[in-house]
Amino acid sequence: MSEKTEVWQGTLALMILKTLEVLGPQHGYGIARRIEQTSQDLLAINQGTLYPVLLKLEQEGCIASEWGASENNRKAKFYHLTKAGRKQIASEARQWKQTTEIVGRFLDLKGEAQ
Amino acid sequence: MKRLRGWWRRLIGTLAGQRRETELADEIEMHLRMQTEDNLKLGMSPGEARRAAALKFGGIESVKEQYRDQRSMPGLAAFGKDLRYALRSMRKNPEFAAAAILSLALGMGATTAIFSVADSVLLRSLPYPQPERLATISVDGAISAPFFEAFRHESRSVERGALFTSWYFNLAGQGEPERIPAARVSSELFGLLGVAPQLGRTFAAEEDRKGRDDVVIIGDGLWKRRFGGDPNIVGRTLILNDAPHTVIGVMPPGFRFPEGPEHHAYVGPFPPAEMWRPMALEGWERSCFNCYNFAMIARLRPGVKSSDAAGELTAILQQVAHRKGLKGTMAVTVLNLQDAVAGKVRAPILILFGAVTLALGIACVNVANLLLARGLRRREEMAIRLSLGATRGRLIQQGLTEALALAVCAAGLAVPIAWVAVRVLVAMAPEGVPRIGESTVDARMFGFAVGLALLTAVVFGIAPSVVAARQAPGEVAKTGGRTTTVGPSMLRGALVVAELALSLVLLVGAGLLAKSFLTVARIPLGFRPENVLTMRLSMAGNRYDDQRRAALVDQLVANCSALAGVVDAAATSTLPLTGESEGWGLLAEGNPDRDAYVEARVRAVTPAYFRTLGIRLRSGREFDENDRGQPAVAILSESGARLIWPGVADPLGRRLLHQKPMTVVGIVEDTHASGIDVEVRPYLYVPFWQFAPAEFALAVRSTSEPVGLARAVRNEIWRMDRNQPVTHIAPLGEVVADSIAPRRFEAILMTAFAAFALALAAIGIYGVLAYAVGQRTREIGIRMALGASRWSVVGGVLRQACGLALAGTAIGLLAAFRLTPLLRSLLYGVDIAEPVFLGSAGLLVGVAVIASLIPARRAAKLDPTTCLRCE
Repeated sequence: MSEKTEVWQGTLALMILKTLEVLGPQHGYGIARRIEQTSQDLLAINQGTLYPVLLKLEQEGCIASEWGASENNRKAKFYHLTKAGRKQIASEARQWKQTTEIVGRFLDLKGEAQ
Repeated sequence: MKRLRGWWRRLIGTLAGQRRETELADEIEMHLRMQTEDNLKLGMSPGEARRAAALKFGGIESVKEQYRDQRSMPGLAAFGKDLRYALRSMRKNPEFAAAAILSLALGMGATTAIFSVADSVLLRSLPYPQPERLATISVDGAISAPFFEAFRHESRSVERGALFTSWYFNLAGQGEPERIPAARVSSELFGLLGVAPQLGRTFAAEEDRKGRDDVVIIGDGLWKRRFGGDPNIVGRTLILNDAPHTVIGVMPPGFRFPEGPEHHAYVGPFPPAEMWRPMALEGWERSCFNCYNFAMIARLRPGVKSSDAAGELTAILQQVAHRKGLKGTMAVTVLNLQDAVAGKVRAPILILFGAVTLALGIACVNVANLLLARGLRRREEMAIRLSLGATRGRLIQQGLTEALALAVCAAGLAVPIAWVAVRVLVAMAPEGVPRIGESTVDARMFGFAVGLALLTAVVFGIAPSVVAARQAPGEVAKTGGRTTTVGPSMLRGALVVAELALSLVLLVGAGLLAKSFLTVARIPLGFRPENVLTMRLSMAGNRYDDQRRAALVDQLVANCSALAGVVDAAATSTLPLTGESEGWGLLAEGNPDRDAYVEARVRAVTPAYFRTLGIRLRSGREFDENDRGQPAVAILSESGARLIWPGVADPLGRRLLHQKPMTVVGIVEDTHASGIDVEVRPYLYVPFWQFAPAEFALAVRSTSEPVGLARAVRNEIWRMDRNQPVTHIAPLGEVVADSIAPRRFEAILMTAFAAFALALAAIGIYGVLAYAVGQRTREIGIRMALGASRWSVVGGVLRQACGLALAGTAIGLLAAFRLTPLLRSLLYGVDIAEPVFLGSAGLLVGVAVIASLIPARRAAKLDPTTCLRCE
């Protein structure tokens, strides 16, 4: 069994936003599935934890939601990106890249003292 | 920006309600179904598929909870819930809420009110530019014109100076004749104060000279009342004291000068001036060094201190006195105008403020006590909530919310209380408290009082929650919340002791003031004020010369005596207790020591005066018709006679020297005419005819309650002189009562504070004992089951009560002994204060015991079997 990683605070939001950008309007289950697939089941998330994050993003105006019909013609709540959400992805992605780059440099350090 | 928007949406979410909840449930259900379907596709059995879906989703309830927290502001929602809970518990326990809220509100309201009055009378700056540079300058209460000139010209500390003194105008013309209190002031005055008139101008320097001085400035009140705010008033001619005067200006509203009792210590109190006329010194006033008839106000140069100015002016005074060959060493007093205005009322107001602050302190202690008691009663509830998973923060937040709700209710109630109290104080205050009319509820003091109440409520409101939150929930739950923890009980006992001690201090203060008042009220006056009606008249002006005045007064007295129901009528230059009269230095004829003169107050009286006022004749006779002309005769008061002729049994027929010799024809009883609480002074009475003052008073003794006579007497006066204003119509009894009104006022207020404190202390001790009995129900039950009598149970409770009461009394007595010297300036004849101390202590212990009887009775009525079973 592969070792699962805890999700960092805040990264889940970025994952959701990016997923919505790629898939277009999607319901909560769809987003959860997609995140699992993308992370190739390496992430240990309870799917439920997605919903408070979705609400937070909605409150901040990054996404919006409306009720619609699912593939199986069921009533489901669909989330889609807003203009602010797209901007948010760009800026968060930039920050994320910067952070990983910096952390990466530290990890690449070789022992110089000895 | 984004975050702000998020918060806003959450705030909306807090308020919006139920719909989101069902939506969320739908959304989650849908999620689970989709997952279950996918799981079925993977070949799971239906039950397994659903279970796996739920597992993957995680704790549904915890997600919902997180979702809710995200949706709204949990703190705020909880606050609302706590607040509702607090209000509900207030309703359920109205005695507690009422006691806490009322005591705090009364404390805050009263403190704010007294401070507001203190602020307007003592602290608020006078309404002049740079008021700190204004000062009154005097030698023993007054100054003479030549010394004033010397100060003005030679002093480096005085920038500008002005003289003033009291004056009266009889205003005749349209409407009722009116006697208008006025002031004679140097033309410099208005510039010195830095006040401009709202209409017209102030005096020019040349109007300050005899002959040019027929001009007046009038006050805003008079202008509006008498002249209907006529905008063309400037330039109008008024008939004042029978001579035409031109109005040259109207002062702005709120301009009051002179103000305060100390201003005119020499001329006696008089109502605030409504007219001002130029000083226009007479020739003799200009040159008389010893005529201390004036008050002086000065604007000191910037940075000059009162004490330095006093030093410099004293040096000038002594130089001038030396140059002129004047005897006596004199010192100049320079008093900051603000202090001069506050004068004698300063001490009582500060003392009352101290007392009311103590009362507020007691109210806070009381509320602390009540809150602690309630907190302790709730320990079990808190323990249960803790074990059910409430966070400690939540418990503390709840305690805080409840305490705040109490304090806010009390503050809300305190606003109208303070508002009403200020008005009551202003209305009740004795006459002559300067600037009291300006009092308004002071926001700073209210803020302070509310702050103190909030602090108390917060500290003692959350203290029980903090204690409870620290305890292991199991412990409390196990004991059923009934064991007494020593800490809080000790604290509560200490609070009650503090309350009792503070109350005792107030009780002693109130007792001392009340005793002083009663002592003063019981002093024999030396005259009998019952059934005597008095009023004041003024025959100043050109129409009257001395002879005409004397004739008019004779006529008036005769007409009044003839009225139905009148026993006697008389006129006098000054009625008892209405101000001080002139003093004469009297020397016994033949006494070789010319410095051995006795200073006596002089009163000119008509023949029936002593009978009218009920002053007893000790020997000799009253004045009669034969005393109209020469030789000069006089009547002395007993103490005067004793001082002038020590050891002479009956000085009748001997002669006194003051300018001219006078023969003593009578000796009368001493009177407290200068003030009931002032030592008896020697009085010299001279026949009205020989002295005929322009300002005088009429006294009429009737067979019954004299108020009904007022109209008849006034008509009698107006029948003789249509333009004669009549003022101060009052029964003599009222004049007497008014003269000790300040004492009564102080005693009443102090007693009110003490009663308030005592009631709070009773509530406090009752609360503590009731709680203690509740805690020990089981123990008492066991003891009774084992054969303890009801009396021993009652005794146990009373013992605890007495312990608290005695501790409080001991501390309170010590504090009272230390604090009563502060009261000394307000006391009279209570040198032996032990009865007051003991009486107050007894009262306090008595009230404490009575308050503890209710819980004691409850303890005695306990049924042992019920007690043991109820555990």
